[in-house]
Order: sequence, then C-alpha cells, then structure tokens
Amino acid sequence: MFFNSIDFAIFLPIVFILYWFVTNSNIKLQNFLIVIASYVFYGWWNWRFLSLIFFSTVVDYTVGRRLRIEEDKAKRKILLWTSILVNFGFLGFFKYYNFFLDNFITAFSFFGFEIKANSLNIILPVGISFYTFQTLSYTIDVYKRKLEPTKDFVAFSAFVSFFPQLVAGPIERATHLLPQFYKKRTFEYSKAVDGMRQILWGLFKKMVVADNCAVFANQIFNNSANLNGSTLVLGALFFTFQIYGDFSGYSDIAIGTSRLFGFDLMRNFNFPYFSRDIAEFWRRWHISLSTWFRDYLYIPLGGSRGSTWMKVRNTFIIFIVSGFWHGANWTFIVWGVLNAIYFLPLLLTNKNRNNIETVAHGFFFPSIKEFLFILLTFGLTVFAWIFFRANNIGHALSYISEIFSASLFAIPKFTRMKSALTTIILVTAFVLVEWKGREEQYAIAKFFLKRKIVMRWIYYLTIVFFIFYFKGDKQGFIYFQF
Amino acid sequence: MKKFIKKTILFLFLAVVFIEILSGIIVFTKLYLIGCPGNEIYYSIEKSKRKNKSKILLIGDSVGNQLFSNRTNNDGINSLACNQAIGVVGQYLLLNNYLKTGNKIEKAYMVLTPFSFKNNLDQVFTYHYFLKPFYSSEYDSLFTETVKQQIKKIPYHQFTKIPHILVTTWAPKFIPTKEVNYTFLSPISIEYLIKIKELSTKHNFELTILPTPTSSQKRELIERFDTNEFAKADLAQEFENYFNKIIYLDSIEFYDGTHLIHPENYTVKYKNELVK
Repeated sequence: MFFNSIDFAIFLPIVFILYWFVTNSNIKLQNFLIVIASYVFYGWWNWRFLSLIFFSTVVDYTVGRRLRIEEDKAKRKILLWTSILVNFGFLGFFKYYNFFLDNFITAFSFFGFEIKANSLNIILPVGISFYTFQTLSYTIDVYKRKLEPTKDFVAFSAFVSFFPQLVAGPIERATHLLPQFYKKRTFEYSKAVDGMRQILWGLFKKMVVADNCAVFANQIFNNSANLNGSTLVLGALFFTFQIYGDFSGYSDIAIGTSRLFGFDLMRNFNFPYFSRDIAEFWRRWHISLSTWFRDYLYIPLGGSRGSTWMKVRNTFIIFIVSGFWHGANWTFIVWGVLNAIYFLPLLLTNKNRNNIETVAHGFFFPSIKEFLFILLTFGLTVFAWIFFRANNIGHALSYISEIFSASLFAIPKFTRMKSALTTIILVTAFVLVEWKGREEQYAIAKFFLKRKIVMRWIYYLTIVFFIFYFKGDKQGFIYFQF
Repeated sequence: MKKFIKKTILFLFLAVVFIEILSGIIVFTKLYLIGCPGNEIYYSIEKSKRKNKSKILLIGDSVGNQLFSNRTNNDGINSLACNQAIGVVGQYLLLNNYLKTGNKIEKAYMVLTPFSFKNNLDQVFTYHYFLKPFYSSEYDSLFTETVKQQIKKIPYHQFTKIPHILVTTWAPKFIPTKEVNYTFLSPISIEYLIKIKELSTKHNFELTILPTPTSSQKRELIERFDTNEFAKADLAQEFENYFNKIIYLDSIEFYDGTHLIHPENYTVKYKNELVK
C-alpha cells in the first residue's frame, strides 16, 4: 500500500478509529491491532511475503528469549549467529543471489572456466532490507545485554511490522521503539496535529517535488546517450531532488503517521543538502541507516580509533556496505566508494566533526564561506548520485564523460523542456521553504504556528492546493526497492 | 480526541470546497490548458473551430505533432495533430469541426504511427485524453454505438466535467482489454476511418494516411499485422502505400521508443511529401 494512494487514505482513518475508540486504550489490544493492520498494509502488496516477516519475527523472538536464560558465551554466540544467518539468509537470497551468481560466473569465465548456472527470477520483497536490519538490532542489543528481551510476542511482532515504517524506515532501534509498545498510549492533541502537518509536508515532498522531478530524471537518464552535457547535469539535479523528496517525504509521512498513534520514530533526514561537508551530509542523510551501520558495524570494527590504515579500512567498509545495502549492483558499490573517498580527507585531518550545528544558526543568510562549502558538498553529492541512478557502471561513465565535454556549455535540450520549467520553479520554492525551516524537525513544523488559526489553515490549504494541482505522474517510492 | 477529529473533518471539508472553487475558476478562465498533460488536444480542438485559409490540413498523433506542431505555422500546412490517445474517432471529430467551421481544403493528411490505429478507446489514457476533452453533448451525436458502449465500460466516465477532475490528470484505474481479435485496426478505428472517407467524398478533398518514422525494433511486430483487416473494412486503398512508406530508424533516434529525439531532421522530408 502506498502512502500516496486512495487505499491508504481509507486504511489510515479506519485503523485510527479502531485504535483509539474500539480498543479502549488497552495496550494489548492496540498492539494486536497494529500487527493486524501492519500485515494488511504489507499484504496489500504481496501477501505471500508476510510469511518472511512472520518467520523473522518468530526466530528473533525465540532467540531473544533463549539469550535471556543462556549464560554460556559460546551458546550465546551461536544464538546470535542463528538470527544473523536466518535474516541475512533471506536478504541474501532475495536481494543478492543473482548478483553473486552473475559475478561468480563472470569471474570464472575471465580465467577461462565456463560455468553454467541460471539466474533465478526472484521477486524482491518490499522493504526486506529495512525490517531485516530493524529486527537484527533487537537480537544484537539483547546479545550485548543492552536490552531486556521481550516476553510479549504481540508487542515484538508490532515492533517488527509497525506499518508506518515497515517498508522504507526509518530503521528503528529496538531500544527506542520496542519500549513504546509496552507503555500506555494516550492521545495527545498537539502530537496528532503535528503528525498531520508532517504528513502533509511529506506528501508535498513526494507528490510535488519527487514525482515531478522523476519524470525528467527518468527521461534524461534513459536517453543520456543522445543528450548534451548541460542537459545531463540537469538530469542529475532532477534525480538529486527526486531521491530527496521521495525518501525524506516517505520518512515524514511515516513519522507523522506514527505520531497519530502515539509513537515517536527517530528522525531520518535533517536537511542534508544544506551540509557544509560530506561528514555533515552523512549525519543528515538517512540517519537511521547511517547510525545503524555506525553502531553495529563501524564501532565494532574499531571506528575511527587505531592506526590510519584502520581508519581508512573501516571507512571504506562502512561506505561500501552501505552502498551494497541499497542494491545488488556495482553502481551502488561505486557510489559508496565515492562517498568514502569524499569522507576520508575529513576523517584523517580530524575535520569530520567541524560542522555540527545547523548552518547559519540564528541567521537567514549563510556566510559566503558557508555558501561555497554547501555548493561544493552539494556538487559532490550530485556527482555521486549519477552512479546511484545509472543502470550500470558503463552508463554512469558515459553519462559523466558527456558532462565533462564541450557540450556542457550548450543550452540544455530535451523533450518537454517547457514543463520542466514549472518543476524547476517548484523545486526552487521548495528549497527556500526548507532553508527557512532548517532548524526544525521538518521544514514547516513551526511555520505560522504563532499566527491565528485562519492564517495557518490558509497556509495548509495552499500546500493542499499545490499537491492537488502540481502533483507529478504517480511513481513508486524509490526506497521500496531496497 | 473529539477536537482533533472535528478539526480534521472541518479541514478536509474546507480543502474540498477550496479545491472545487479554485477548480471552477481554473475551468472558467481555461487556465488548466497551460501546461496540463494533453493540453495539445484542447489546443487542436480550439484551432479546429477557427477559420483558416490553408488548403492542406494535417491530423495525427503526438509524433505527427512532433513533425508538424499544431502551434506553429508549417509553411501552409495547417496541423491539428495532437495525440494518439484520442483515437481515430478524435481525429474525425477534429476534422469534422474544421469542415463544419466552413474551412475548405484540398488535401488532408493523417499522420499516425502504425500502432495508433489499434486504439479502441480502451487505454489507460482514454479517460484523461479522450473523455475529458470530447465526452460532451457537443459530440454526442457523432459517437457511434460502439463508441458509446466503450465509454460506458470506463469507470466514472460521467464525472469528466466535474471541475477538479477536469483540471487535474486524475483518471480511474482502468485495465484495458488484453485479448482482442485484431492486430492493427480496432473496430472504432474502422468505423471512423470510414466516416473520414465519407467526409473526404462529401467535401471533395484528397485523403492520405501517412506513417510516422518508426523504430526498427518494432519492424517485426508491424510485419506481423494482419493486412486483411483493412481489406475487410474496405480501406485497402487508403492503406495501399502506408506500410511501404514507413521510415525505420535505429532505436537510439527515439527517446521512449516512439517519440523522435530530433523530429526536425524529418520534417522537411515530410513537407516535401505533403506539398508535392
């Protein structure tokens, strides 16, 4: 079920009413309802893959229970690895089987061995990377004794399958989300209104910004061989805003929806395109994944401690794994490597934590220096997105080589250029609103809050107007495929 | 809780009223024709009702529109070409409008891709591109029984003139019929090609059907078309040279497999064909 669908517009109020009125604030009933609603939400897409979620839930719940009573270190390790192998086994099969098989065959054929094996026609279960990482965080934290294993199977099922963030995150930590399922939830008016506001802004990001940019990004990337350098730059820019609008829009809707049910999800985006260096960008982009890798991979590997070689090794590992998490394609790995290359100089010169505060804190305009660093970081990010969006490495390289040709200075030219102008104007307005609200949880969190209700509502109705009249052709959420 | 629900309902109500009023204004001022997908159809409809001295008229689909834009002067060739989604029935309605306005023509060209004739008003685009511009009392008498039956199959066909539906790209989910017993010419296309033929006899102009440049990847598919279909419909003469005239180009010449990246490279060739 897509957040921007009629199905969800009907589903959400039904679940909301049942949740607050029928369950009579009984936690067990509420959790049970969340599980049912979440399974319906996921099953709407493909009910057969519900068995995977259920199986992961049962395995991790059982492993957690056993870890509670098991004191023997070796046995505890076996339990942990059981969970890791089961979860990564599913992920590996559904997401990476064909990739490894194809590369294995290619590698052997390079040395003159011919191996015959057929790729499988595998459907990737939506959101498998998200819920796998979420449920693994539980087992790892229980193993490390950071979290008391739950006895409540329904609460744990609700934690694994919580529908607002099931298919595209934020990837929650068990330590943060699971305890919320034990506590009595009471309806908070201000929290619910804030949730609605965030949903509205998320819909704007997705339907107006991302879906409009997607049309032109797809058109330009799919025909890049016939287009000039300046058009390709425009294509990369369209994709840059498409992926941000798409993914951060989804996160906003997920967080907002959770708030309607009395839950707080972690923040996933913090205005990443206003970052002054790549380290800051990675503190602000897909925060739930970056911090997951930091806590469960980077730090156990030694993090930024140890020799220079260790720092370099760990940085490359975390960025490559992060790239590979996105998909079974070399393009994602190169995207990860590129980001590691961007990040390393900052790490090695101890400048990776230079920009912690929001840019131009307390001012409207940034300083010239800040502005130039934002531009540089943005440029590097756009460049890396080319690999992320390209169909394969060859495509990315030919795309980039055309950009760095004389045609970069030609006038952009592609079909429907006039319609693209509307999108460019919309994106510019969007960037200005985001800039204005960059110190908040989401851009419009505090807009007009001090004004009278009439002014506020006119403002919200204007956003509705933009969603209604300027929405682009409906596209799926990019991150569903991860 | 009650306060929240009350306010949410009130907000949704106001949003609906707000959207409907604005949509009404947009319909009244015709602002929706600026930049909306399919605006070229509305432009062609309006243009088809204008007086014009050109002796050559061109109707056609979006590739035809690429070659001869309906918004520019094409050296004496008046183009109403817009979109395949309007079907041959839409092409007929434009031609009929044009002649009804009192315009006299010597030649009419219909420039369509080989796949446009398959349109039986059963596409996902039919709602937005055909029903919204044409499904009105103005054209009702010109619809055949087949067209009327087909329209009835499309959900919410009766709501196309509601302002907020008209001004947006919204269309219901419509799954086209997969199994059809024709390869090239749909029943509706046959009916309206015959009607176009009748118009050419009545108004004494020469009718020529021309293909657009087509991707060589589609050659095999086109060669599998059953040519008996136009013979059976007594349209053999009209399609006599149609397939021979298809210019097959490498697929890299198209940005989506159908539309040309550089239509200007072929316009002159077509102009020569049209004015000779």
